Amino acid sequence: MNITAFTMKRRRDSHTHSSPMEKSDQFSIDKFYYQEISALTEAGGWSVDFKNKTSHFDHQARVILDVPKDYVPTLRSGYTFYAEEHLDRATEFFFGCAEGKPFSTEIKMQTYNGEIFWAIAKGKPLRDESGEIIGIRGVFRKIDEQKKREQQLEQSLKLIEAHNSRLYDFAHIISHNLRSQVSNLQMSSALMDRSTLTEDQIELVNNFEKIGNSLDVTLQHLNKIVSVHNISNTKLEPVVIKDVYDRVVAGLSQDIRASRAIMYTEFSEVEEVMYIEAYLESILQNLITNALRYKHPDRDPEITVFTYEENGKKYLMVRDNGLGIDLEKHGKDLFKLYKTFHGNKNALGLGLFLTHNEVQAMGGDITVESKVDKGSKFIVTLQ
Amino acid sequence: MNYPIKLACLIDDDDMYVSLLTKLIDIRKLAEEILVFKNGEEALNHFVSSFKDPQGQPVPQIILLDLNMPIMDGWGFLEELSKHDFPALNNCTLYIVSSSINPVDIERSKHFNLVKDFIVKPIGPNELVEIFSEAPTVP
Repeated sequence: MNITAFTMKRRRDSHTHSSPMEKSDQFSIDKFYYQEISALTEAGGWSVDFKNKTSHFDHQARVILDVPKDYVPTLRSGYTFYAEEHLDRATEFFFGCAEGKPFSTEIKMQTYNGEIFWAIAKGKPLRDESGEIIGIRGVFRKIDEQKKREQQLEQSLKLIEAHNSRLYDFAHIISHNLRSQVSNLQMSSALMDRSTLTEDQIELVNNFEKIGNSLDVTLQHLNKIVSVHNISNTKLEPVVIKDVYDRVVAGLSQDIRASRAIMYTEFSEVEEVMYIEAYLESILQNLITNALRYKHPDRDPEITVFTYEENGKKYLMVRDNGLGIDLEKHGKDLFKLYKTFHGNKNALGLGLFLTHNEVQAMGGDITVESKVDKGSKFIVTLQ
Repeated sequence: MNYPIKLACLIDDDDMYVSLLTKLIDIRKLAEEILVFKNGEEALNHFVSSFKDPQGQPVPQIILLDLNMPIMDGWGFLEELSKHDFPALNNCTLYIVSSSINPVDIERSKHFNLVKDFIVKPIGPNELVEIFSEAPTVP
């Protein structure tokens, strides 16, 4: 009450140049906004007055705390509105504020009837003209729903993390322990002396060998996929794109020569990018390998690799004049595992899947534009 | 009969692999004798005691070491063995032979001077012949 008088007085002081009519208008408009906003945001105000030893709750505070109509807060009664487990914290904030330290915190409060809720609470010391602290004013806002959602989110995150780590263990067991078994199977069938066997038996033993080999290939794929997710936590470092490109092309030099491919490059617009180098290498390797592999039978491949920046984002583009892909037919499967599109026997359907994974693990994206018989254009958003 | 190797050593907990590899070594006549340990600790104890005593057991010319083993794995074995500076080890070639295809493992193996190479299982007959004939001959 005391505080309310104080605020009203200040308000008048600041409007001394206005006519009495305008003053009261402005005041009622302000009051309207204040009431509506405090109701909308579920925010209540309170104050204590050390001199007169009184305490005040505003209307919304009384609504949130659900106090009886005739309830009169006292200096000490503030404490009864904090949950027991947070009472110590509340006390600490209150005394700190009384010594001049404002506070802003998330804290568990409770209503008059003991119903617990989460709130943001802020408090500021109130000083008189001489600077002496004569009270505290504060607001609190009910954030129960928000807090609950936050906790639910946290819980789901923990759950997902646990699932993820189990999945990783699973993948590790598959790719490692299962491999030991497969390798024994491969060795056993390799050791088998075919000379003492009948033709039928030889065929069966050969089957064992084939099964072992193809199982081994599958496990190696799985391992590659696992290792993509495994190094996502690795730190990014500045990577010079041309260096990586040169290394990839050196590795593919035989294929490039054999297919008489012409390579065009331009890395001047984006020379460097914060990336995991191994990923960029694998991305370039896959895209260039594809461009070579799916060249057009009627012409030598021309492959353009360049970087550019657009709207603050860095891109890498690999364009070829090869077979092209029927995007209407295959577009949605393009980056999926074990999907192949050209009837090529050596195609595994792993390259673009891995590329997509690697690009995404870096927070980027990959898109494709293609026309059958004209060529393809892969655009990687690097950053 | 002339064997390329007098004594070979396998450190691996996988019984089937050990029996297959032993068979392969026998068939191809790659080593006269084979020493087998089921984990790093067994192997380490043997080597530490035999290396300390120059009159002790013969030192293998080739060691094929698995990584994933109970009690003491391949890494533990390498770390412990690296602490000792056994001159006898100069006449011994060590290969990691693991079913791991994890690049992290392969990278890690490069930090050990003792390790000549990392071989991914399964190890084929030709590869085995190759590494056995490359091993240092007994003086």
